[in-house]
Amino acid sequence: MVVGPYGALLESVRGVRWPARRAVAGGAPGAHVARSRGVATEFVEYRPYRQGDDPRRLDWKLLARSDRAFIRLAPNRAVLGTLLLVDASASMDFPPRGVGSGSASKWRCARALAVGCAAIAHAGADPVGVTVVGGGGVSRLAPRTRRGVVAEVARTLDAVTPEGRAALEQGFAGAPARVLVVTDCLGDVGSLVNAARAHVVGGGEVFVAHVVSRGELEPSAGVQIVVDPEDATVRRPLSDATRAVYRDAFDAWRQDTARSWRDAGVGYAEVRDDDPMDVAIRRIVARLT
Amino acid sequence: MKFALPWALGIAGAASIVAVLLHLIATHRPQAVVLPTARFVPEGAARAASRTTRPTDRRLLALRVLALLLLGAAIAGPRLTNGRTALVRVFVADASRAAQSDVRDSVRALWRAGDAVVWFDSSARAAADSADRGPRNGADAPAPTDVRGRLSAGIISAHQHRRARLARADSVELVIVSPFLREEMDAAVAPLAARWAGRVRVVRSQPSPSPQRAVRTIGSEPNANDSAAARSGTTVVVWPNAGGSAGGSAGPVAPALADAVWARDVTVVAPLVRLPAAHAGAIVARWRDGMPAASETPLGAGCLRRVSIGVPPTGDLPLQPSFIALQKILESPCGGHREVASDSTVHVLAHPWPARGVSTDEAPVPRPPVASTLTLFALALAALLLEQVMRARAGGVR
Repeated sequence: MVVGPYGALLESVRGVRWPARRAVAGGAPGAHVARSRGVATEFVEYRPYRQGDDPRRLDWKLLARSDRAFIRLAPNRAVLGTLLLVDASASMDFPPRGVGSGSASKWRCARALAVGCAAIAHAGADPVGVTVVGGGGVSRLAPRTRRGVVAEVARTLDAVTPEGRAALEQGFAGAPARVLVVTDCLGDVGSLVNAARAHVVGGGEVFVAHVVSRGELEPSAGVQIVVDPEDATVRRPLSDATRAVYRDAFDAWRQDTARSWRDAGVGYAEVRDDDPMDVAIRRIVARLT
Repeated sequence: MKFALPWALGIAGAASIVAVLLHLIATHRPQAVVLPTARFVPEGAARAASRTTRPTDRRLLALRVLALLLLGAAIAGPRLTNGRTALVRVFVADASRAAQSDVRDSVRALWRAGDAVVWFDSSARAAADSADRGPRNGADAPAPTDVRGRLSAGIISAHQHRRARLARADSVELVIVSPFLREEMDAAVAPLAARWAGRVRVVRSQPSPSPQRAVRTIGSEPNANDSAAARSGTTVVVWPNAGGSAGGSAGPVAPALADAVWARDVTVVAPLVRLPAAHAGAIVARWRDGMPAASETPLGAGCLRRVSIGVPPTGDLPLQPSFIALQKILESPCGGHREVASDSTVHVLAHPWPARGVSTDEAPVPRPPVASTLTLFALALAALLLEQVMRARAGGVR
């Protein structure tokens, strides 16, 4: 049972399904169409009987009418392992706790996205795991289907404090077929895209939830020195004169980043920290941008 | 309160104005905030200059202005005067028969608020003590009288006024405005002037011309006509045997020893005879032992002069130049000739202050400082240190 701030979110995403984009490899029976054919009751096609086939799969009625031995084939259903790869770098802690108004923050948004997607995947009987990569290390929860895994995902996320830099690409090592990356893409996005591309080429699915803060889109007015939390050497004066240049550069970078993700075959969705989380989750699982 | 170096205060004030202007044109480091997308902000100067209508960092500004003013005050050297002025003067102005109106003009020209004026003839009297009016309008300046002046009386009165003026001033200057005739100068003038604890200046005016008055020499006691003549301005000289001819019929017997008599700067040494006489009034001539040989008493507009110098009937004493000069003095009009004192006699009265060799019980009292220079410097240093602390706490170095 998941308690705390995720209760309303999980209630709002109840019934949402997260189907695989293509047939999954065979495995444990699940909700996703598998590339293999089975003997289920749902008919798909006939195939001539070959020596060695199970005689019980013969269509005896057809054999009686046409004296030809055919085997009934049915689509197989399998589970799809899902990994939530969450960025816990220092840049995700924005606005910093206690600064700004409201409860919206990139880290809170990332946690909500991960928990919501975990709940959806778990509802489809898919094994769900989480890997949180931050400056303090990597927290892993192996994909599993047992009851209560969503709560474990929530606890794993809640136990992490964003800090330092995160090498998210290392999270793809040993990842299951479906990976949801929750990040602000302010790290080494090139390496991350390459790792995602390799995963896609390997038959996996990769989704990216690009978390953007409203404070990043519209910095507060006035003259101030802005400091990169992951690189203290980056100290720039943000004033009315440079704010327009900043917006243009940030918009262009977001567009380039989205294009690079999509070119790599990754489902990309930009999520703002003040967006309704259930709506954002539905866009992600529906692969809407 | 006065300052030894007032220009230091002016410089401190100007520096304070500059500090205020600099605070109006504030160059400050903006507040640092975290922004993960800071990399998209173009690089530029981390300081921003802006003009404001209200000074920034008022506490820092107040401390800086305070430090500057304290430094300026420390350098300027404030002195507490308690309403005292540095210098007042006491004028001793001649109002005797020897003086003319130029004495009054000189006093008017030199007088300033707070000064005192003592007019003197045979006695001294102070003008009305009005700090605003003084003798400028001439209301307090008496017309020259017809009596012989006594400068010592005026200086004595000035000494009395000096004590009163010391309560209001640090130094009191004595200014003597007079033609300085011999008849006004007695032996007390120089010591009195020398005892003046302060600067003494002398302003010499023009003496009034000697009046042409009649002189009547009689050999016996004056009668009613003589007295009437004296009251009308005639100088009646009672000399029993003046010049060996004006005396009585029985001339004095020549003494065996010579005697001496002097009047002004004339001395006669001869076998003179001391005649009995009741001297009164001012002594005109004296014997060698100091006894009066001639005296005069004012009588109305004139005077009655008694001479007790007996001239031996024999000898050529009346023909000697010294005796002729003595006779001229004794038979001169009342007051004698308007003979001015020598410059050396007058200038010895003047002296600067502090005068060398002047013995006085009163020493010039230095004005107490309001606060010592070290204290002001220490306060300024404390203000600067506090400003440093506040600036460090503020973080943004201005």
